[in-house]
Amino acid sequence: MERPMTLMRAFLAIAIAVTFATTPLRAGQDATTVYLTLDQAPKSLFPGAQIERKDVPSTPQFKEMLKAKLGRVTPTVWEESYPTFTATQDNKTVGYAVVVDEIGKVNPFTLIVAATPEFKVRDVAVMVYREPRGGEITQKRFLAQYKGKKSSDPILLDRDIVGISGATLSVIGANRAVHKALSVLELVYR
Amino acid sequence: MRYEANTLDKPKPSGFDFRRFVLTADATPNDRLQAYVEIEFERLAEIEVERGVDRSDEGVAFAEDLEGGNGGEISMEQMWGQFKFGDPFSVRLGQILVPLGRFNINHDDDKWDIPRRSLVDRNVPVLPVRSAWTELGVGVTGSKSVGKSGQLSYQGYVVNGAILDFAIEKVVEAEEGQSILKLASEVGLTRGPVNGEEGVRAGTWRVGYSPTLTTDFGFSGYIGRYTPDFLEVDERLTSLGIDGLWKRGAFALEGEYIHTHLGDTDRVVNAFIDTVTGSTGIPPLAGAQGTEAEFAITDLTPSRRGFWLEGRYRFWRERWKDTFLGKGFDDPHLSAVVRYERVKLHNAIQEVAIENGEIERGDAETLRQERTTFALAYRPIQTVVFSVATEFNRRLEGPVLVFPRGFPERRYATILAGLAFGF
Repeated sequence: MERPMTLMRAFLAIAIAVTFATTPLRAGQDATTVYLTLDQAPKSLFPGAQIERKDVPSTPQFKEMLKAKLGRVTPTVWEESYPTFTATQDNKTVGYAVVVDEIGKVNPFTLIVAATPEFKVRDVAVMVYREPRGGEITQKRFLAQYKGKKSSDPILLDRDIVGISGATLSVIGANRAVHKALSVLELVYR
Repeated sequence: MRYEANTLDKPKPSGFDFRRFVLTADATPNDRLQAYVEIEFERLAEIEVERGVDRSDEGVAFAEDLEGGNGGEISMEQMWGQFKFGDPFSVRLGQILVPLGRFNINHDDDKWDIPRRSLVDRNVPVLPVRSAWTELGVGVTGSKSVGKSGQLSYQGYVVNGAILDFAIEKVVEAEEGQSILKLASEVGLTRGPVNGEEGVRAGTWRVGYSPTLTTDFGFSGYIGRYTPDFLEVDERLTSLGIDGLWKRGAFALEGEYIHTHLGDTDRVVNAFIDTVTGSTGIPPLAGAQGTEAEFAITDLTPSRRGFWLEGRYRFWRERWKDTFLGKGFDDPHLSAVVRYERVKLHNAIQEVAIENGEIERGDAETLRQERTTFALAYRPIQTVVFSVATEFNRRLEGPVLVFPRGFPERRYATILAGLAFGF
């Protein structure tokens, strides 16, 4: 039994050492991971800009227009309204943003997509993630791929978006979310 | 599900093979707590157990009847809970996947385009226990960003560990005008026990580094004692793995190399003989009339190694979107796949058997085999794959094939068709 005890001791020593060396515990979290609140999200994507919020109700007419604009892309969530934002700096519009939901595998995640005045993706951030798997899509290196995308781009896995092993369904969900976000912004602000 | 037909001289009958049905459940009751369960039904349509007592004037009969298909299995593939201390560090405990190589930790069939698993991970296997290989244990897992686009991931566990365990086989046979009940006790390498009776015997780890989203590679290992206490010999199993994935546009290249060393297997065989003969060196004679007993230790190889390398090209033409392949789907696609694999069993002993006062010890043989698979896969959605494949197998060394084991053919080909879906 000498070897098992040694292995066990080694594991416990590593576990204790790493526990104290790494991130301190965070308190007050519920079942989902909230990375950004609705207040924080637009400010983090347009630092220093003035933000004006406009909620766009998803009326049946708006939904029809959005459906037509999305074409082959079928959203998994139809929101009741879309919180949108206009960012201005020195009285000049520097961009727009919208918050959308899409389903990864089972549960929806919430994404904010910021666009330039030319309706190209400026930045994307995951605000809330609710799945036990696929959380790799919150990585900055993954989200950076969307920069510069337009609604006319494919935004498809293995075409212009590189996937992540073990998070394929979440990646596909993120692609749909970015497509939907760009289409909403174009319908509202173009 | 899979259909298979091959050119072996005595192939198994071609038919539909219900490979596996896997039920999964996961829960995240809190952001820092996670649980995951995976239960697998393999080639299993039915299990029925009947037991009864029949009492009559002549006496009493106790009867037990077990019904089910051949090769059926129910298995707890994964069952673990995880506690997150912080982003780069979580503790996971329970029935976990051994992180050796990249296939075992990504073994779900709907992720792969070829309807048969590799020689390295399943058919031979070079992996100490065929995939999906799980063990009961506890360990740490996590990942951390490195620089602008890099990601470092790690996992390490102490586990009960793979072990030489026994199974008892019962056969009723008609032979020279009499019926014989044969009982065979077969000792072979299996996943570790889950009742704690052999102790914590092994450790396993994997460190992965992904410099960019398109590149990912990992180094992994497993080390532990695999001889059970009843054999009174102490031998270690050591496995090392290197794996990687590289993507460029619609093309992906993925591979894995595993080397497994089982120490001094002669010592293990001698200890087995010693155990069965009670250290007298005299094998036990046949049992009562009408019965036969056999003791066997199977598939011991001092070292095994092998690799697979798979290239995939994903394609789709817009003009197909209104055909039966594309209609109604957001992003259907086809993939052309080529996989090349090669395995080597060094000085393999297929079986050492003790039966009717005799010890039969097969010659140690070095066996090598290569397989090339060409496949075409169609995915209407990401989690559903229809695939057809052709395998070309070639024996490179030794008198028989490694898979299927014992066949003398130099070459054979197989046609496979498969369907896998996740929902």
